Amino acid sequence: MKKSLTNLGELTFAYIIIFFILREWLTPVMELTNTGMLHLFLVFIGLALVLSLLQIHPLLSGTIKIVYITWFVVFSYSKYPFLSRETIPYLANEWKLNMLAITSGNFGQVTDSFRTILFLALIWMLIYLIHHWVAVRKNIFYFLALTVFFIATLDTFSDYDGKVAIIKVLILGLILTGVLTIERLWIQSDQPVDVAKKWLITLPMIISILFVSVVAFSLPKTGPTWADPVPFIKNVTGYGNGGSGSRTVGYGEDDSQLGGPFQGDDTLVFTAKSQDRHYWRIDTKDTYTSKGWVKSKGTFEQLVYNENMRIPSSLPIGPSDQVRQTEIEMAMPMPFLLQTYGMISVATGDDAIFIQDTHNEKITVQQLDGKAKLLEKYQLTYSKPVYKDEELQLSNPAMLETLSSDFERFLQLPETVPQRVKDLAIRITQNQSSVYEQIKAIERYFTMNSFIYDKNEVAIPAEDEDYVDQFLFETKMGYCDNFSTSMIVLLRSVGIPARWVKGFASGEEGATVNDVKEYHVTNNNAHSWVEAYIPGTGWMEFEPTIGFTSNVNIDYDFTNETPQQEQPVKPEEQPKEQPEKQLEEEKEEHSPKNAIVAGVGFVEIWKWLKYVLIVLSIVLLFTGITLFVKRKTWLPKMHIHVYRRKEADWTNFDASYQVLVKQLARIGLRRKDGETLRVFAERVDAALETDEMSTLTAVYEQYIYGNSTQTSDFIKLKEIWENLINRTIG
Amino acid sequence: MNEQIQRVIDNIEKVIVGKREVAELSIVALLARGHILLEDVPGVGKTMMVRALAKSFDAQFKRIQFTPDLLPSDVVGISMYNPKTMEFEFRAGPIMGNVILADEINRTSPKTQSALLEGMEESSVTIDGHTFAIQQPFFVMATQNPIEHEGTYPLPEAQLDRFLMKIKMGYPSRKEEMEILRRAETGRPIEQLEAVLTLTQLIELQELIQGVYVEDSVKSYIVELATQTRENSYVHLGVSPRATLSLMKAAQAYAFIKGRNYVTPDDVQYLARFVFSHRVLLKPEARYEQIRAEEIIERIIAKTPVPTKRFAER
Repeated sequence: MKKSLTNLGELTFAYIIIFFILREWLTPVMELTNTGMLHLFLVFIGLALVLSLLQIHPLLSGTIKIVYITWFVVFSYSKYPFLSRETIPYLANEWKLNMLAITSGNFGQVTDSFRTILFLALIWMLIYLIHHWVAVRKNIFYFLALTVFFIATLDTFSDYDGKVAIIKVLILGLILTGVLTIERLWIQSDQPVDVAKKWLITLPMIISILFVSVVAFSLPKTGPTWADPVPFIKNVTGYGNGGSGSRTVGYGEDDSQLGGPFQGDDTLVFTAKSQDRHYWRIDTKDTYTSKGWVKSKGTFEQLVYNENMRIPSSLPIGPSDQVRQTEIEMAMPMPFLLQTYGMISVATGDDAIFIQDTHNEKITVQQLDGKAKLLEKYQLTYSKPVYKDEELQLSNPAMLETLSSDFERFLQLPETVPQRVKDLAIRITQNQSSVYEQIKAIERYFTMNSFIYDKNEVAIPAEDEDYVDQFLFETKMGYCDNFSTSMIVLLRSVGIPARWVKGFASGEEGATVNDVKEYHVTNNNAHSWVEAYIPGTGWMEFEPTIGFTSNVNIDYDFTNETPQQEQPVKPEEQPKEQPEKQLEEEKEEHSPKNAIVAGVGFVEIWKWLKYVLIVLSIVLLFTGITLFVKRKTWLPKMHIHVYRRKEADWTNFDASYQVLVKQLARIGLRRKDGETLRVFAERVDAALETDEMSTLTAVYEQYIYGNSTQTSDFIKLKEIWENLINRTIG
Repeated sequence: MNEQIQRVIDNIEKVIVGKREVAELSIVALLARGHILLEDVPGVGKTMMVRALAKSFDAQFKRIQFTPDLLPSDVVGISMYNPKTMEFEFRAGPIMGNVILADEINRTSPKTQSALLEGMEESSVTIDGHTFAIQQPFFVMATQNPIEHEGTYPLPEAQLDRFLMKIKMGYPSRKEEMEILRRAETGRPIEQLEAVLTLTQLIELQELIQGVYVEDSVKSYIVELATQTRENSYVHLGVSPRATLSLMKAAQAYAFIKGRNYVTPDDVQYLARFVFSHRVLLKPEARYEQIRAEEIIERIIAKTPVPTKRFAER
């Protein structure tokens, strides 16, 4: 009785400490989730600890906990009093809702009350584990390490400041570890329980821990020797939010330093209503610096246009019978225009002027007084340019020689571009007869040479590295900037004028009303692509980035285009779109685009596989560790199974005896070097309260030291052996 | 326990109270054809033990009390001229017995000591050019008093090596001493003691123990223990190969009396302290640190790995 009482006292002490450690778990969770019910959760923890401490029958303690949880939910989430008529229907309804949400996979729809129940259940389980650690294993290390890790992680990656919490947890944890260690030593030494003696050891331990803590706390500390690892970790894991190396996707002005990972951002920028898919052009850049893009120096005209005035650009315009309108509604108004290919004029319904910078063809919008104007809605009139295949094929590379000096800035290359880039460009284009084919060859190059589209693992070129060279020859992994810039450098290397275009890709398709489709363009759609100059045709857009397709209209001069013309709706449009589509489909069958599809598929599978492999190896590792740690319980069972089937003879008896000795060593009964088997057996028998080991050992001795080959009663021996092995497990 | 030996021990215990270990070890020495050096104070029952042992086998018991003036001829015997037959006649000394108690062997001169020890080793004595075989079985139990050193001649190492074992008798416990008094109250029990085995049977037993099996792993264990004494930092001179051999023989005898026909490391460990400790010569350091030879042997036993697997080359 006295023993159990002191035991209870010790456990209570341990549980009080556990309570305070658990409190440190709860506080940050409550703080970060803005849940203001800390005290209610604490009461639950206390309740669970007390029930576990008093060893209440599981049925009773379970009922108490369930009642508390129910009360908790009703009290906190419903407007009804706990013991009212509405309680049951409320709970049933909640249950139905949540089960529905879970079974349909909509985990986001799970209500707060259900989350609370899950959280409380988690605490319940945790306390069950803790009870095992404290009362049975008398080792709290896992729990303590986990707590520290948990708080440290929250401290590092969230707004929660865990400085004080960590100190508290460590002090409490050390005291608890000390108490449990004393307890363990006491049990091992077989001493009678003596509370006073125990406290004689425990008190100095606690005092010294407190003393050391106070000293450690008050001592001056140097700053961290490592740089803050958080931005790095965030970059690697893709959770950066504008840290030094990472950027958020979206349209921006500064492109002088390209590369590095970026984070997705699905904020809506604008919605466009249009019959056609468009790439939304904003800006072009002409000077490559080996690290990124800047504007070239020089003076260029600023042209001013009014509403509905034709705004000319360097790009061709489609036929006049194809003129259409698109409406743009900005979610995030910008002081410049989003231009479609073939744009003719702009209507805002407001007094605004448009200033076109002929340098980069960016059109800024201003009020009449010269201040920047943020348009919320405007209408573009355009006619999509149609490029004639015939014409394109006629573009002779020799014609590039005769270009005017205006194109020089589109042929600019820094001297630092490595020769191998230029060699590559020549190699890609050498067998092509026309400039257009040369450009297409370069455009295709990326899809055919196992380049990978990736937003995260993208390098930033070092001081002495070239952005394009690094991408083409080393990393082969990147996003639109990498592809477009590389393509331009390759084009320029073979003398084809090219410029870098920035804007937005076509966006996500929405509802269609009367052939007019809605396109939702988010920051994720910010894009860069290529415009190249084809002698005899003019500027034309190209899309080297894997996974993107441009919207170029190419008129392949087919003779049998007429049959489609009898289509009822807008008959004049159909013939042109139809062959194009057909051709695209055809192309996809033969052209390398097929390869991209397959390539992307493989990359996806590989990515998926990689995760599966990582998860699998972690699971395997954990299983391995658990099996290793738990080997003293499952190994013997396996051995029993194995030896049951084996024949009863001396060899197997010998082997089984060795297994037994090993198993005994695992449970701490290890034979000393100078100890004879008989002495060891006596010791084992004393520890296991049996005499079977001596019986077994006598036979074994006869086998190893004697020279007689007489048989023994192996069946009986096997029985004894099994008994012993089972004793080691129990 | 071997049945015949059990009878002998029971017989001895009729006279000697307690001291079962000494009786057992004496029989071990007797069966292994070795001799025992008993180191103890007078009056603890040494004589009684040897006499009881001798009586149990119906063996001839002789006692030699060693004194400083004892001559070798007093031990081995002397050739005397018989005027009647006009020949030298050999008159056997007390060594010509089966069981001999050589009391306080360190009190006599080395010359006399060596006469006895030579007889023990060779099982024969040479007098005036004639060699006389000592009758078998032949068992000497020599005693020496560890307390008195005045006027003694401690046995040299080489002589100590001739004893199979050195054992101590020790005082009886209170209970045992009470029992001694009770038994002596009515008469002298030794007088009523009868033989349980004949000398012939004893010789047969001596033959039998040679058949006790010593596994190679156990032999190697014995050798390892001996080697350890030679390599120990406290030991000036380790045990001789004769000691190794003695240990094996003793172990065979011990296994036999325990009723086994093979030697286990337990036998070796048990006997090593009796067989080895008087044969190692300690360095002065050990004596300064008051470490006795027995302790060193214990330490060696504790750290030398015991063979616990079947010997591979079998």
